[in-house]
Amino acid sequence: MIKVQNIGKQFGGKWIFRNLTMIAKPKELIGIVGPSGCGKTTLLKCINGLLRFEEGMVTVGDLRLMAGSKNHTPVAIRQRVGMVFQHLNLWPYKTALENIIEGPVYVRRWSKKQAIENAILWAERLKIKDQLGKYPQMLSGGQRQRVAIARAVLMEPEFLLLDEITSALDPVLAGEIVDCMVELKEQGMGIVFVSHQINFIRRNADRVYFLQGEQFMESGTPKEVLAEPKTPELRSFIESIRHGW
Amino acid sequence: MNYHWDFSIIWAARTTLLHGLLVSFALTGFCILVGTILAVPIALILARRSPVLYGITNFLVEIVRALPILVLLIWFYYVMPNLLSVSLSAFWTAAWVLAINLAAFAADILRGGIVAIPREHLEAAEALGMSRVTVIRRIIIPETFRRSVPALTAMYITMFKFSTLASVISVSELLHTGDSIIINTYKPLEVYTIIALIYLAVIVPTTYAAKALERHPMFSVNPGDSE
Amino acid sequence: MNNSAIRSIKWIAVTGLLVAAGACFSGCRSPQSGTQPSSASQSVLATIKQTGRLKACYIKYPPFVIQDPRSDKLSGYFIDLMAAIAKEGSFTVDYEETNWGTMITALQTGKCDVIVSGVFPTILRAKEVTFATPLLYVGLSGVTRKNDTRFKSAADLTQNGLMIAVTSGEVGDEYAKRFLPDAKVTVMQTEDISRPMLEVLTGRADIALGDSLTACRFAKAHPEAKDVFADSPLRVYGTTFMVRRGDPEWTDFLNIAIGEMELSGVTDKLEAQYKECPSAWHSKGKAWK
Repeated sequence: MIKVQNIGKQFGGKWIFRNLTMIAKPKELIGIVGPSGCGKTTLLKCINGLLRFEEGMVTVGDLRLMAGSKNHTPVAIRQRVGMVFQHLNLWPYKTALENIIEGPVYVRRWSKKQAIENAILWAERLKIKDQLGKYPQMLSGGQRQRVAIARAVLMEPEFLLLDEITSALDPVLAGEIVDCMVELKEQGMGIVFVSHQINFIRRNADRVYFLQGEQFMESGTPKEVLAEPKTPELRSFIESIRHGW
Repeated sequence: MNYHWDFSIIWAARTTLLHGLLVSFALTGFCILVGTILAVPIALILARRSPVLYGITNFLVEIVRALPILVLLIWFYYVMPNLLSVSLSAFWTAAWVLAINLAAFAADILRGGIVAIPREHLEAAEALGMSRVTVIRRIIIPETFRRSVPALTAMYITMFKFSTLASVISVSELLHTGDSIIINTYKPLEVYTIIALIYLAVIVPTTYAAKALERHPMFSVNPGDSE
Repeated sequence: MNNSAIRSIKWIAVTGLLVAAGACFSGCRSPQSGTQPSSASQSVLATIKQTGRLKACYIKYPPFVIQDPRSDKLSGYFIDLMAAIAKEGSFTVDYEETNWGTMITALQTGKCDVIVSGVFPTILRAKEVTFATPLLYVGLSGVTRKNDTRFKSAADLTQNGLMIAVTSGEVGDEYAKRFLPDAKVTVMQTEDISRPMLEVLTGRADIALGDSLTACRFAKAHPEAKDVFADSPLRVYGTTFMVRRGDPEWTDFLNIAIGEMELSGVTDKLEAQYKECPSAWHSKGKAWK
């Protein structure tokens, strides 16, 4: 279980968020929504320790990340909590296959053969098997996104942090990815999904958090949060999504 | 110009010239290999900027960069044996001087490569749970080298040309071999012409090959290539 | 770069530096006999008696010192002469190459204990080093283009508007400084003592001054040039071994050895064997007319 307790993060003297508390359990899909720039990506990066935070604590199972502690090593956490970045962060000088097997081979210490076999299985599921030998610049946006997803899931993490991963995909493809995520969830993975796409969150999330102005303004089931928004901020956010783009 | 050209002496001296070229290659090869290896930890220290280590390292690097290779060659060959009880042959003196010189310049090139690595590439590696050492080994060092290919290639070619300086301590590299031929034949223009052509024949294809290499996707390093 | 991954590269960097330093010193050999600089207090002669070896430096200068470009084997008048002395004296000679520019440094830093080549004792050099007694004499001559008839004697060097080329530090340079102070002189900084002659051929100079041996050999190699003072050199220089100052025993040994080689006919034999450009150099007692 991931427990986020009262964490606060500052950038250059200004608080991005404060006193955030959140729980993510296995077999759960948590959605985090909110306007751009409100700190959703920052929150994800605090959870797996890519960014240090100034207040609070993150617990992943029996592993703990304390605020401001100089010596914490989040390496162990990251092996249990995978992440797919908004900008994918693929290594452009490695082929799709090399991107995907990097973690399992050099972190989990699988043999290359084993890693490649598993990579091919995932590539088949994500429909990128024919692209494995290509470099990222040769792939379409959607294909790259699926390579990034494969790279994270091949590590067999307990939790997956997904940052806007369907934004570059057409609805059909996005739907396929989502189905994939749901399958993973059913198999026991916990998923924390940051997205603009309210409809997807509404359909698939078990719980939703709405982040704006340094806080989780609302949280609850999709029905509670999205169908029946309580705060004016959330209402106007939902409106803007419907009409904006 | 009242000079009668006679290139037949060049043909007669071809094996000698070849031997000189091989010595130049050996000097340059050692210099590139050892100099590059030395440059990596120096570059990591310079990129890191931790106060004490950075200060000492930077100071030493600046000293080496400031001293002309010719001066270093003569000093190490003639003076060092008297100061420390350590004496190298002319070839090894030249090889080490060139290597140390290259290390100082290559370290700066690599440092630039390290600090230019996009945060995203490192975050991707860290997010997979890679330890710091593994990130350095799997991402930082390889990517730094990829970024540095153009500058390093230029540096390596420069060192190949600088290997001619070893002739001042009588290392039998190409230029020195040429001088030996001249003293036997008094045909300097023919000899220098062929030496120039040999340098061209080595350097120009190398430059083109390096440029072709840079274009391969294996060497693309910009985030835009993978977003 | 505030990434946590870089935070402890320090230990990698330090390890790397230690490995590199170790690699540096692995390339250094412990000194073998013959490569260690001589101790300043002991005569070279004493070292030879102890070790049976002489450290010598050679400078390529055919026919005094010849190096076969393929086999690197050394021969020539001075090489063979030193070999004959070494045979009689029961020691072996270890050679390293040096050049005109660094030969004094090589002696003074102890890289070698004698310069084996046709070195000319000049007053400037004599301030730093010393020489054995001259056993050969080489002239000072000049090279011009073949069809240039302006030069018949030393007086012709003072003509107006001449450009004279010499090699820095060599006999032509010294002569020009002493006897032609008003002349326009190009001083070439090079190890190649025939370079001034190239200046003449390429039209940048009217005459090149240099030792008569080089002048003769250059003119032979270039029919478009001529050696103008071949029969009556501008002046004569002695040539012999060069050694460090302050070691009278060693210098004395060499002088005695040279005298012995002359008396026993070795020098005559060598002169006959290596005589090219016969007009350009003579041993003692056979002066120019």
